[in-house]
Amino acid sequence: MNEMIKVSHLTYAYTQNSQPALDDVSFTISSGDWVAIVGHNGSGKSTLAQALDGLIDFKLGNIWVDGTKLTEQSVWTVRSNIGMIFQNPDNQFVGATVEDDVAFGLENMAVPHDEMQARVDEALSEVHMSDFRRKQPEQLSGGQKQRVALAGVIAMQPKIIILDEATSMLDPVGRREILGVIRKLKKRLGITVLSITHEIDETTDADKIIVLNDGKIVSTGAPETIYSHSGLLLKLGLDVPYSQRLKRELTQRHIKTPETYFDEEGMVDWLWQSLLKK
Amino acid sequence: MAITFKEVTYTYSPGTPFEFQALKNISTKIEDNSVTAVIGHTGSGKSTFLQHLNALLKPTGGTVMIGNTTITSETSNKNLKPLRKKVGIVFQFPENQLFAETVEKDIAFGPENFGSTAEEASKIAKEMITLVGLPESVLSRSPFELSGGQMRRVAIAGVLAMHPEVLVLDEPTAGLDPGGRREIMQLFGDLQKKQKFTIVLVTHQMEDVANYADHVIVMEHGKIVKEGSPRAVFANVEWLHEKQLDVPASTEFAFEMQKRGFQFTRLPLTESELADDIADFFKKRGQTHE
Ligand SMILES: Nc1ncnc2c1ncn2[C@@H]1O[C@H](COP(=O)(O)OP(=O)(O)OP(=O)(O)O)[C@@H](O)[C@H]1O
Ligand SMILES: Nc1ncnc2c1ncn2[C@@H]1O[C@H](COP(=O)(O)OP(=O)(O)OP(=O)(O)O)[C@@H](O)[C@H]1O
Ligand SMILES: [Mg+2]
Ligand SMILES: [Mg+2]
Repeated sequence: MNEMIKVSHLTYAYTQNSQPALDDVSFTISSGDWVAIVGHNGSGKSTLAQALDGLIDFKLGNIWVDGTKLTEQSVWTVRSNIGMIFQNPDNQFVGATVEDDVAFGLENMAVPHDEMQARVDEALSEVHMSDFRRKQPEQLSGGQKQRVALAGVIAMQPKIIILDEATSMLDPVGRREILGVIRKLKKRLGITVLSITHEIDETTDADKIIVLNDGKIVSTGAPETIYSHSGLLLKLGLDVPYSQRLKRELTQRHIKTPETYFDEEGMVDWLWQSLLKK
Repeated sequence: MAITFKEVTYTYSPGTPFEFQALKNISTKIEDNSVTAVIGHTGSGKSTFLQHLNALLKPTGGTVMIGNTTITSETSNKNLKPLRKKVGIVFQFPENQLFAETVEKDIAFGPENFGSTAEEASKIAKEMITLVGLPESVLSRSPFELSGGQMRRVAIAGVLAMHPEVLVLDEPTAGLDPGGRREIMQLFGDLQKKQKFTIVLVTHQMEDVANYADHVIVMEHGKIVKEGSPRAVFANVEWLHEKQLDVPASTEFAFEMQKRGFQFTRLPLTESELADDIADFFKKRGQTHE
């Protein structure tokens, strides 16, 4: 069995008379996959992440993580497999210093002291925050906080990493770099990654995209499949890849563009073929 | 309202082991009735710079002139209320500025504090919540029981409700969904054109810089390393790459086309500029379809 996460008919409302934040949500995620979750503000993404981490007391539906059904009894086991980054890094910090904070998860896992030190050092260096190790989390800039939060899960090396808009405050180059670090780690250790994001370019490399709308899954599929429904994405308040946006602009200018999905490189290539190739 | 920085330095926790100089000798002028974008890496000093715009932080050295109020390290907090009415800030983490028990009270607080009646303030709250794309039903809810993007929108509504003369926005679209991003930036742009106030924003979205800013300030390690119009700043793609900064996607795309032999008289900044250029290439080649 290589289902790392299975969610079945999960329904949850924060209060009795509010609309459910999650409404009959079912999906599975295979071990080692990178899955992106997209959806408008308030569509239920963070609620879903918290449900998987056992932080929400849902009554309807079931969740299995690495074969274990999530219950009151199993919640600690389940949580020990998940490295979660919250949307607001301020809700994440527990340590008095940056290095304590990164070490925290490892202390809980009873990692031997020497190994812990080594992993903390490596994680901080991967996110370029080694110089800040003795600082207090509240003395960091927004992006630095997110880097430290990411170092925490990198050091932990969990089976599953859940990123709730974990790079929203990084500059674009920094963002790509840090995602590269996680991608490398995922590949080396076979980690399953769930990434909640509003950045379309963070979804292009995903194995699967899940689209949430008002607490319901409206679409699931490979990036190319999802992107080819650009009308639906725009209607849901979402984005389409840059190359698709450019295609729309070109179509408006009566230029016939290829039907299939091209990334930017593919588009440049197509333009070169159509215009410059002798 | 114009703002002038003269040789401003700022040091956090001076005289402690945590001492850190976050701004180094900053001099610049933010024109009245303009949109200025501040870009730069993590930790380059952008938020520190912004917090000087309403004297939330006071320079360790140098002076900041906000309209005709001069702020130095000596300035006391006493007489700053009129300034705080004129300059509204949306912080990088909106949670940090939400405080009231309901969304309505949160948005109405500013107007009431500066002289509106409770009734007027509540009417303003209704208008503002609609402007930022949330349903009126949110008004009676606690601001702390909202999603991240919804909180951001409430924080923006609260600051807009004060009709500030300077609107300071620290990554205002981080956490907004793409549709919300477009709408909120459009809202800022429209309001600015209509009411002719001053906007200063930090952003990592180079598209927004290209579309909305008159002036760009590039920060690195607490210094301003370049400033000018978006066209001037983004013209030098190689320099920006070297500095590990991005250019707008359309500029980057054109830059890649250039490498393949296409010639641009000036690099496009936006999708529509790029599409126009490409349409021209097709026309020249005589291959326009349909
Ligand atoms: N603590 C809470 N109490 C009551 N309602 C809540 C709470 N947290 C979230 N909600 C509501 O539940 C719905 C889903 O919220 P959730 O935070 O999961 O959205 P999201 O998809 O993560 O949005 P965003 O992109 O803005 O972060 C929203 O309508 C929100 O207002
Ligand atoms: N309270 C503080 N005490 C000490 N140093 C601080 C404090 N706040 C910020 N700094 C440091 O000052 C520098 C500038 O921080 P600032 O928040 O201005 O950066 P920024 O450009 O806004 O970054 P980001 O894009 O990550 O938000 C950073 O190196 C940061 O670590
Ligand atoms: Mg969320
Ligand atoms: Mg900042």
